[in-house]
Amino acid sequence: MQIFLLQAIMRITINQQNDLKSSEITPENIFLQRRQFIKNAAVFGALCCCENSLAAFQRTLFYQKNEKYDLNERLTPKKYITEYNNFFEFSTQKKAVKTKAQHFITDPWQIKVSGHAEKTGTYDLYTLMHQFPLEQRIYRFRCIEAWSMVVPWVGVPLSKVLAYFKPLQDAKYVEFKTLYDPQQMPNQKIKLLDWPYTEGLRIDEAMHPLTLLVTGVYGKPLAPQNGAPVRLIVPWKYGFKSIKSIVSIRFTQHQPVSSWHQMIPEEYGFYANVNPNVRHPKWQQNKERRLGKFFKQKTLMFNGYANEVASLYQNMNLLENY
Amino acid sequence: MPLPKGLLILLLLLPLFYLIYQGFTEQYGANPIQYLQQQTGTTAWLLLLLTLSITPLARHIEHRLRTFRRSIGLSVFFYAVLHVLLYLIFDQDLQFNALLEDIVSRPFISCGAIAFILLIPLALTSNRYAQRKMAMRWKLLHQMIYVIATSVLLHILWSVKWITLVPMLYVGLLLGLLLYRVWYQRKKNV
Repeated sequence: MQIFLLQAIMRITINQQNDLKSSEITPENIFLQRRQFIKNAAVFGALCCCENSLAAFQRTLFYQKNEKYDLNERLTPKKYITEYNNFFEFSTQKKAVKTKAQHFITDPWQIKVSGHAEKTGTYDLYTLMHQFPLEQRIYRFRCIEAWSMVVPWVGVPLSKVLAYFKPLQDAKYVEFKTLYDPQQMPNQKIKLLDWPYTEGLRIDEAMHPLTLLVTGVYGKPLAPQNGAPVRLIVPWKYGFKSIKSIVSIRFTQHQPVSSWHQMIPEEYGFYANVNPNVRHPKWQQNKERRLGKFFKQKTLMFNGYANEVASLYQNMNLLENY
Repeated sequence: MPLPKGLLILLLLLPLFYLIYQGFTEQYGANPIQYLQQQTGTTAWLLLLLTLSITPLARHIEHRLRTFRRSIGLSVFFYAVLHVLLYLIFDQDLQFNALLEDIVSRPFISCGAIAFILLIPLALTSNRYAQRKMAMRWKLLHQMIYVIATSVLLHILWSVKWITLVPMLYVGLLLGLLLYRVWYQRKKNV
């Protein structure tokens, strides 16, 4: 917007003609602020050229609001989203993740695409993502620990990105992996889980319009504690399926490992669809605490996305395949 | 070493004052109820371990510590009540059916419920009148504190994802206190 106005102003001042159409005359307030516009544009340009992580988090993402994915529910305050995190690679204390992850390097970042697809290879994240227009979607997010949020994610439908890699016919699943770097992620030195964190989706779940490859939240690039620079969001499943800080995408024929499912299969299913009827020994799944509220509220089947995703599971017994 | 009763009670209420202070300075974080449940539970548990340490400490270090045991024991009940109330009100909406359902379906809640229910008669008989009236039976009743402590430990171990350093420490401490009791009984019987 600012660049457009800058161009308009420059067009006016350079124009040698004496008669100007009234529509070409810059509104006075904008004309008086032209120096500020030029300064902003210069700063913006400079940032694009030489970014460090700090500037990266502070810059605003350019995206379109996708009105189709909006909720009639209050957004969770940004402070809760950035300061209440389960990212065990950094810390098992939710409050501590932000501090422990603050120096996490997200640029440069590469994603290795492999398996049953035509365009396998290693991609620079930023070059790859440049091809896809970003959109903002407001989704419910439900952790298996029975708390939930409403989050304005910024990203690209995963289906668009996966289609770019041209998966083959026999690709039945997609496997994702998080970065393995015990220097930056100190808890990877301890066998809390079988690092690196691995997750997987059935190909139809991965190609579903709801599934989002996310690079930002609240209009800004993801902070490290939220899974920077790129993560998955699968809103109808428990949060642990929404893998963070992705470095690998692999198209497979067989069901991939899901780290939590591998660790405690009775508690963490591969599908992990939000289901109030499937009990969990540690957390009551028929209710959830919406952050910001004090009393618990009823958990909805598929986290309220039943209309969109129930058809994916219509021939499955969801009490067994949880 | 012996403190005036009022000062002891003040010290035992410090965790509560700290929680209130944290409330006013917005330090509860994004999930205040969960944080309060955790803090009141941990406080009750640590005070329970302290209660169990009084007798060995009194026997071997300073016998006047024994006068603190009742107050510390009651403070355990105090924080346990806060802990349970937070759960009853904010997790179960004071719905009795929902509560029963939860007690039978989540093992860690079952352990917590057992521990709290057993704690009640101990709290009610924590006075000299009951001690006199019950005589031998009072001692037997209050030995249930070991069953309660074990139940609480299971409650804690079942509520965490991993048995990390702190839960292991709790196991070690309770085991130590139990073993001390067994050792002392043996010594006495000789």
